[in-house]
Amino acid sequence: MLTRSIIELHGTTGLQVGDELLRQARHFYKRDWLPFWQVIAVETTQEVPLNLPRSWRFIPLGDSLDRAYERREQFDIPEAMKQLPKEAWQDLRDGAGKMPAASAVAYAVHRRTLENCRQQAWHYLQDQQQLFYDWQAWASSDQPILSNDSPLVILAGATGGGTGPAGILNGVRFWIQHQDRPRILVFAIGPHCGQGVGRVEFANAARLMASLTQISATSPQLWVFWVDGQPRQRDFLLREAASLIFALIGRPEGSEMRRLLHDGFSKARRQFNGCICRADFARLRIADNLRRQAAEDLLLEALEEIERGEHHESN
Amino acid sequence: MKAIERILDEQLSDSCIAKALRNANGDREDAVDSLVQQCRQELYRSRESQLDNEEQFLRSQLTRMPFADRIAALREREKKLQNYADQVGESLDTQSDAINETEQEYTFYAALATGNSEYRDLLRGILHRLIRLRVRQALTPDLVDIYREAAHRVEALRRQAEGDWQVYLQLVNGLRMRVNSRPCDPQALVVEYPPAPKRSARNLVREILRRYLHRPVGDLSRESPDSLIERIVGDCLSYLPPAPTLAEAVSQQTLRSFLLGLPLTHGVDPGEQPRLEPPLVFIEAPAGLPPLEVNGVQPAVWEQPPNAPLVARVFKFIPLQGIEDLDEWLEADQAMCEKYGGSVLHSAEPHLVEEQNRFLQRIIELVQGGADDGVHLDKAAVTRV
Repeated sequence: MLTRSIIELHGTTGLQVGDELLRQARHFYKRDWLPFWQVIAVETTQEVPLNLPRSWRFIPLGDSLDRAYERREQFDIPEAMKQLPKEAWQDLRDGAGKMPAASAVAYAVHRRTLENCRQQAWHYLQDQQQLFYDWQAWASSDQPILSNDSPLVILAGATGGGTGPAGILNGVRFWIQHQDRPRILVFAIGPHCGQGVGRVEFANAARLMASLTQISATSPQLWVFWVDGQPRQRDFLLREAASLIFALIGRPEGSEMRRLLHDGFSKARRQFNGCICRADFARLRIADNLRRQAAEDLLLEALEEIERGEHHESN
Repeated sequence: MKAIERILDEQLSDSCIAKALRNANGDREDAVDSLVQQCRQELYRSRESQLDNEEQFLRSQLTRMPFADRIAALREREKKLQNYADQVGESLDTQSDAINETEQEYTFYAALATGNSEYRDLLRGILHRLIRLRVRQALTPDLVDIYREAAHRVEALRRQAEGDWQVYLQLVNGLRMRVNSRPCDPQALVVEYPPAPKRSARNLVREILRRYLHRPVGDLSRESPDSLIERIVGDCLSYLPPAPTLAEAVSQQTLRSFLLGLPLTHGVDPGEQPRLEPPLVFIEAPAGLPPLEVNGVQPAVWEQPPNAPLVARVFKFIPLQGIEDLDEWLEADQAMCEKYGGSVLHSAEPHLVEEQNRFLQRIIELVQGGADDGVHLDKAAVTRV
């Protein structure tokens, strides 16, 4: 059962989750990407990555905000952002430098582009006729069916970075106010397994989590999943976060998982008036490439034996 | 290079010399010249084929030898040929002496034989020997050239063998590095594999390896060590049985340890844990595993195909103050506020910062009210922002 979804990937970590999703989708469905999962990727950079599927929308936010600072009054952004010190108006061509306020300004400046993208993606997912055509073009008899459930909105990014928190909150605020009130799933990753770990990341995470908890108190459609661990577990956690997203939107057990999670979030919200869900993962599997490893081990053993024999003989 | 000697022996047999003398009407010099020319032509004609034969013979012998021995054998052969060429080249003086001695001997017996048929055969024999020596002396540079060429070919062969040896060493080192640099994956269960008795698997791999290593000299160095490893491993893989599924390979004890070690409380502040609902545990389990029980928590289990991994996802619903180490985050938040003189540049919603501050203040009070002695936050610093 496939669930229609909009997936927003914010910042480097978000894009890495996207990479993993792409890999898993290719593995499961032998296709580059499915149109029923609309992807919007946002990064504070000027460069557009070349390896993204064509159907993904990529929005680069690599503005030189430092140059725009003098004419900030002309921008249609919240007044409080215009009052931010000049440090927040920084050059974003090479990233936001772990400063969410700077990213937030860029998101605000590009509000219309982002909103148009989101609306287009949403309209596509509501367009039954277009979906039917695309489904027919893709599906074969052994493919799972497309669920009638309302589309999900999934937001992924790092808690400790600059673009991740700004993108997640920008997306949450937009979708919370959306007239169709879609279910919003946030995957907030870090700060302990972020690309950097330190005081700045912890401070960013504290502010992001505070905002998300506050919003979740009044918005039952928001589910916040907090994925964290040790720095050396980063790859594993990114993979598992993607795997969870994929299970929720692309696998048969996804709808039952969502039902159980719904019960969990409801209970916790009643108890705490706003909550987040810490997600942890464990996996036990036969080692990857077990056969290959065995072949390599046996081969090395044989070669070393020959080497020893030759050494012995040549002596 | 015995074949070369054989050719000369044939060309300088008594009958050939007698024929040459007859054709030259008994003129010794003419006979020598014609024999030199004839031998040179024959050497030139068979030179390439003899050298090729020699090389092929060496190659076939080398294929049966181990790599290190190949180089040693070729080096020895090369040295032998060079020595021989040197010896032949340096033997011109000795040959001249022998010619002079034979010439004197011939003159002596020729004087004795005048009018005496008794010495005719002896004299003929000496004459043939003399002609043979003269022809061989004239052909010495040709022979030296052939031996040097043979040595040169062996040297080229040795270089190929050394190239093979280098590739072989790189193969061993590359494979060793590959094996030693395998990432350590705690989620991966490494089981005893292949299931067949180890000796037969070893023999199988050795047999495959032999096919690659006992190839003609120079073949190994035509490929890069990496592609060689890939090819040999690929061949080995085609003979290894399929990897076992998790259900086949996992022991009860491993399964039990895995379930007991599930992260049921990770990331949650210990003070908050008693207040929380039991975590939700979702398990994807390959078919064939025994029933799964998670430390008092009833998991939701989805059965997967037998070759799937065992995946557990644990969900804990916590309030903000339930985050483990939240005090560290809040202290960092406070420090960042101080750094920018109250400007909360680490907030992604700087326009809503007052509301955030009020909320965080409430959280700090909750954390401190929770009697966690580890939390020492300066509340004033947060409210000041």
